[in-house]
Amino acid sequence: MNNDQSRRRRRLAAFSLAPLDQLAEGLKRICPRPGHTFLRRPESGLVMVRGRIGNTGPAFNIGEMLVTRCTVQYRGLLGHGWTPGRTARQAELAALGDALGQAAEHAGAIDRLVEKLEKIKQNQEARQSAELEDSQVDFFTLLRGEDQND
Amino acid sequence: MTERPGLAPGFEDYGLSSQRVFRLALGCLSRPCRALDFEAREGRPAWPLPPVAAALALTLLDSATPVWLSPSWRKAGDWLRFHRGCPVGGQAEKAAFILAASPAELPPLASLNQGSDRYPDSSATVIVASVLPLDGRRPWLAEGPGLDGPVIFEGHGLEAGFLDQWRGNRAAYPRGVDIFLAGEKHLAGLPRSVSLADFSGGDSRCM
Amino acid sequence: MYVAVKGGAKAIEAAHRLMAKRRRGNPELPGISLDQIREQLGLAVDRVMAEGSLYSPELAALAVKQARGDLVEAIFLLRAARATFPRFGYCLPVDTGTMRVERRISATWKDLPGGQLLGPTFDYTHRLLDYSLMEEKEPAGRDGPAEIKGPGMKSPEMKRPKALKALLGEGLMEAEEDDGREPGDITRQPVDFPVDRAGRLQNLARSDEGFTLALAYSTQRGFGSVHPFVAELRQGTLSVEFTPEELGFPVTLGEIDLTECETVNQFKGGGGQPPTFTRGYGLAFGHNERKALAMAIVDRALRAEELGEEIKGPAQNQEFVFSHSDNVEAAGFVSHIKLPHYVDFQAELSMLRQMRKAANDDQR
Repeated sequence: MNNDQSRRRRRLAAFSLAPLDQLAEGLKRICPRPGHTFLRRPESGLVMVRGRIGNTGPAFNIGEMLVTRCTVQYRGLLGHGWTPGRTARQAELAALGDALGQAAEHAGAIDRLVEKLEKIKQNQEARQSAELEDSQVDFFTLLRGEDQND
Repeated sequence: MTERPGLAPGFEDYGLSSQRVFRLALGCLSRPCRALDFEAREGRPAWPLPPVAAALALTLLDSATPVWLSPSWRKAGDWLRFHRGCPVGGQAEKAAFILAASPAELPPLASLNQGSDRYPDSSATVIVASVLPLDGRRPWLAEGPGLDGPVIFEGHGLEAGFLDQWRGNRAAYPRGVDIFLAGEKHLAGLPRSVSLADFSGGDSRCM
Repeated sequence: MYVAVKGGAKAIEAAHRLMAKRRRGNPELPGISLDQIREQLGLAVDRVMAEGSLYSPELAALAVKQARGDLVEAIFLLRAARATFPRFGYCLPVDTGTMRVERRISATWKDLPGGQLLGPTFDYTHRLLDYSLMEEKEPAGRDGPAEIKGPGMKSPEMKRPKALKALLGEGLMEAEEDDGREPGDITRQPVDFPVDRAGRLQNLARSDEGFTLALAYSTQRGFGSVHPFVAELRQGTLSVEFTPEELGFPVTLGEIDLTECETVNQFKGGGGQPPTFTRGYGLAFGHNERKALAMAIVDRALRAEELGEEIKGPAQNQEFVFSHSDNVEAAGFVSHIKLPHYVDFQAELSMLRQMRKAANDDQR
């Protein structure tokens, strides 16, 4: 995967996982009147989720996941958005953000927005993780009789 | 990367439009050989296929339906793949849908996927651009479920030689293909359950 | 035989109005919101997603609300909703090793690498009704969000190694290797028996929890013994990746919660092969611990033929399990007999009368 692709992959991930209001606000700040058009209006559909037998074996189907996709055109640039659930607005914003990320004048600002959204997510995960910490089992084992002779 | 700017949009609202078109397609199969009106609002001028065929393709295709396009319609492959994710460009014999710009571009029906005796529904479906009946053409007689006795069917541009092919398609019933005839503003269905016979115009059965 | 009976339309409309009213309950009480269902009846939502075979907490919550809490009905609603959406394709297989775990336990190794994380669980509760819940209070302080102890504080690692790794290394466990085969999809292709393990797991992932649980139990009671140990049970969140046609590289679609269960079971070997432990596998949407556990046991039971074991219980019979595990099909077929069968019954009635008449005539 080349540099552009991994950059794009990273921003699409950040947009699909971001809280909608944060994404909307961030993009509005970068480009208040984008004037994009739709090539593929937000459309909800299914993607079959797959796992592997024993996590390493042959693949099998678990069930479908509802997602929404959207493709916009901004100054000749195509932006694609893929977001979880019935999320027309988020998919549109993700697609717009993807297109803006390809425009020279916005690319830097989009990268910064992506970093900010990633940070929000990391903080949220750290909070969840700290909450779980106390439920980590800390076994202490009683000495057995035969061990005392050692 | 397989990016292709400049592709035409699909339906304005996929959910609503595809459901309306699906309803129309069901009507065409349950009342065969009758041209039903297609609502012009579903179509878009920028589409690379005529609106009725295009709308039907957008409605019926998805990632699990390999599509074969006849030579004049090959240019629509990218557009269909972008909107429906359907595999395009394989052999006609393996396709779930056959899209043909005219009856003349249609592969022999017998060469298409006929389905199996256990799962006849897995056979190919043909969408072919058609024309409304021309004057002076010798019509056929159609008979079968959904038809109130034998009715006159003008063929919608299907050639005279089609009749033999259709007899062959009927012979393996319940296996066989189904056909949609996509006109300029109309859609008609020719499911495998319908039998067609030559109708010698002017005899006593006329009207 | 079914015969259309006309004349019920008015009554049906009235019945639907009554149902809507019953669903709402006492109008003086506030209506329940989808958010409330998602947040406070999350395990109901998870079960509906798993058996409805559609990951959408929003639509699953709606189904629970509309079905008045009847989960089998809600599962039916979600399956029906699923049929109205187009299929975009198949995601890349998820790697449960990348899961941000919320719970992760092993019944086989006390000190497994990564440790035991209980997470939220009903285990070790006393199953005593908590009368304090009768009055809803704001969460107390200690239930509030935990503090992050300063910047740079190392939060506990949420990703943990898979428990079976060690045994695999020693060669004591059968390895699961990808054969690269594209799995069949039982929702798309007609099913012919025997069904391969991937097809059976797809069926079990959406199977009725009660049915699957009972089958698993039956193996433990001797109807096809499996002798399972829970090597690892993990629950948590991971991201789903998919390669859209227009991009040609995988993108993140979002995150889902999954429950995974891996069991180790008694040995196979022979024919020059040293004996190894065998494995059962369960994986289900959401937090579905009982389901994933039962699934892993039934998965292992269904491998009886492959492993050359004697088939002596229904849980080992794949046609029996596969054909009866889906509660949408089962509920539909069982429930249809409450719909009008007037003509069938009349036919049986008249046959019975004839038989009795014939018997009477003979006696005379």
